[in-house]
This record gives sequence, C-alpha cells and structure tokens, in this order.
Amino acid sequence: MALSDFFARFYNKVFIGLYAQRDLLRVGVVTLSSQGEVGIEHRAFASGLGEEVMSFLQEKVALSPYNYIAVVTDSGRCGALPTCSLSKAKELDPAVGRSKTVCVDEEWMNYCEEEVLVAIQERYASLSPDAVYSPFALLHAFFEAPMAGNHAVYLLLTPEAMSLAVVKERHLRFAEQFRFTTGALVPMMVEQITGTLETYYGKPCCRGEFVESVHIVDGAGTGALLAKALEEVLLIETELLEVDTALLCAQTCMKENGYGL
Amino acid sequence: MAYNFIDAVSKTPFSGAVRKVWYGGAFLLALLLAASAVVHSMSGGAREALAKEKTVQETLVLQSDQLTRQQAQFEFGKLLRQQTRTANVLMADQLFDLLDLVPDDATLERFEFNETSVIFAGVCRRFDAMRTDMSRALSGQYRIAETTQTAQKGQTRFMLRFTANGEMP
Repeated sequence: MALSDFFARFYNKVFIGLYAQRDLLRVGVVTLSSQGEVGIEHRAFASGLGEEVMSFLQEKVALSPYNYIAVVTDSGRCGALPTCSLSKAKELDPAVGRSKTVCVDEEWMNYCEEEVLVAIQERYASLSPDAVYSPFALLHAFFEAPMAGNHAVYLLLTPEAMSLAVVKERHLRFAEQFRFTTGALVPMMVEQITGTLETYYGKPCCRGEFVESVHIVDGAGTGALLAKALEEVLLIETELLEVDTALLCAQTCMKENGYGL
Repeated sequence: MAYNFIDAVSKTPFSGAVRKVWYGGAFLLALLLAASAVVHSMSGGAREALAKEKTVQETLVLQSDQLTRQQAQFEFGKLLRQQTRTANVLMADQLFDLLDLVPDDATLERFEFNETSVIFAGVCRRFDAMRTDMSRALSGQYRIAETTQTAQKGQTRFMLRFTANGEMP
C-alpha cells in the first residue's frame, strides 16, 4: 500500500464533476467523509469559468487534499466501439487514429480525439483537471450492473447530445454519439434511435436479436417524453432516471477511484 | 475501472497548506525525539557517573576494611609472637634453673619437662645427695613422685620423677 493510500483513509474525498453547456457551467460535487458518509451538491453557473464558480470550486477543493476534478465532454468527436483492438477500431472509425483510447471490460473502447482533449485541458488549465470522460464512460459507470443482463439500449441525454449504447450481457454491440446543434427535439431523437437500431438489426452479428428494454439517464430534462415515445414506437419497457450530468461525472470519478457509485 | 483519457495526478496529503501541517508536525516530532534522546543520554551519563562513583566508594570501603583486618591480624600475630617469645624465655630460664640442679659428677641421659612433671634420668656417683639437693631446690613447685635407682660399677643409674604440687603422683 502506498503511503498516500494509507493517509487517504483519514481524509474526506471530494469529487467534482464539470459539464459545460454553452455558456452554462454545471458543477456537481460528491463528498465522501472518512466515516463513509456521502454528500452531494450540484449547481449551475451562468458565467462559465468566472469568479463565482472559481470561488465555489476553491472552497470545495480546500476541503481535502484528496480532491478530484473531472470533466465530461459530449463532443461528437468522442465515441465508443465494440473492440479493444486498435487496428479493428481504426477500421470501424478512422477518427480513432487521432484519438486517445481507453479500453473498458477488454472489449469496449472509449475514444476521444486528442484535439478535443487538449482544448478541454487548456480551457480548464486553472483547475488542473484530473480526469476527462466521454459520455460512454458515464453510461458504463452508471449502468454497469444492468449491462450484465439482457439485451438493451442505454441512453445518456445531455442538453446538447445523446449517447447511445446497445449492450448484451456486458458485451457492447454498438455505440453512437449524436450532437444536436439546435437543442434536442424528441421526435428527432426517436428517429435517430430507431434508424440506428434498424442499422444495428441489419448487421450480420445482430440479425434476429432484438433489444428488450431501454434505459435512459436523463441529464437534459427531455427523458420523460423520449421514454414515452420510445415505448410507443419500439413497444418495449423503458426505464428513466433523471440525473445531473455534472453530478454523474463526479460520481463516475468517484467510482473510477475505487469508492463505488 | 478506468475511464479517464488524461494522465491523472496521484493525490497525496503532502500538498499545499496540508504539506506545511505535516512537515510542521514531522519537524516537531523530530525535535521532540531529539530532545528526548539528549535528555535520555544526559540522564544516562549521570546515572553512569553515579554508579561509577558508588563503585569506587564501595571499592575504597572494601579496601579499607581489608586493610583494617590485615592490620588487626598483624597486631594479633605480633602479640602472639611476643607472648611466645616471653614464654620461651621463661621456659628457657626454668630449664636452665632445672638443669643447673644436676651436679657436676652426674651424667644426665634423659630429661623431660612439662607443665605437670619433670623427669631426670642418668648416672651419678652420689645419688642420694643429688636427690636431696634437687628435692629441696624444687620443693616450692614440685615434689618427688617416683624414684628408681640401680647400683652400677660405683655409680648409681637413676630416674627421678617430680610432679607439680597439686598434681596426682
């Protein structure tokens, strides 16, 4: 055990998640006391990385030397692929060649173009972020247990994007990242989901295997309408959970550092 | 589970203000340990010096006792030797006196002397006179207890045994 791991037992931990939504910066904070008590807090700052948010973040960071700042990006230049083979991933999406990749469960690759990552690190340089996540990391962290089960669609809705992953028994079958330039409209989202599923069903691997449920984590506020529409169109069970994207980012960071979700 | 795209910095409590607190604590602890070591060392030295002094004192006392005992033994030995010498002188005087009683014409072949008796044996021309003289001379301390005499070629072979007065003959 490293010395810092030993000392970590005696300190509170602070996990801070950041999600930028145009000029709005969402901040989610999860505090874990040395006795195991969890506290959550999430706020939105209209001024972006202004004085107010910096003051708030400094206050949180000062709570413990074990503080972690994570940023989630819903950029369309990040995604996920059902392989951990770099050559195979490049065949599936050439953008992988200019991306940083993280392999999850040995067959699930999250990737994000380096330009996007550099831009994020420059934007938040004053905060020295400890982690940058793609929405698929949040999806996996949040739905890790259900993903071990049946064939299902997992959706993460953010105000400007939608991340879709089809998973069966922990195996990622398909993933897609959608960006909305004018805000997410439910009919458009339904259309994209059904179109994606039709493409998925047409693949040799997945022909004849239909998804049995849809699980939605809603960080955009449109999840209820989308869930209802999907139930009507796909005729399958839909589960909806409303979350704050920044808070989910902080919780993902907490899980990544070994403190559960 | 790893999700992070960038290199994470390892967290440690030894940072910023917290580092100062830890370093301050560590410095104070080191100071206390050093002070404790110095005090311990000093008290150890004092204890050692005290023990050493005590040992020296005990050794001196022991040596003094031994010296006193040796002196006493020497004095006692000296006294004993003086007493022995005095006794020997006295005995020599007594022996001289006793042997002086033997007349010139007698040849003394045996002479025994202790605190209870005196024995003279030998040959003599005038035994009766010698016996009378000796008996008279010793009458203060001794008396004749046994007399044997045998005539032999004009001389008398004799044996006179005196016992101290108060002793059984």
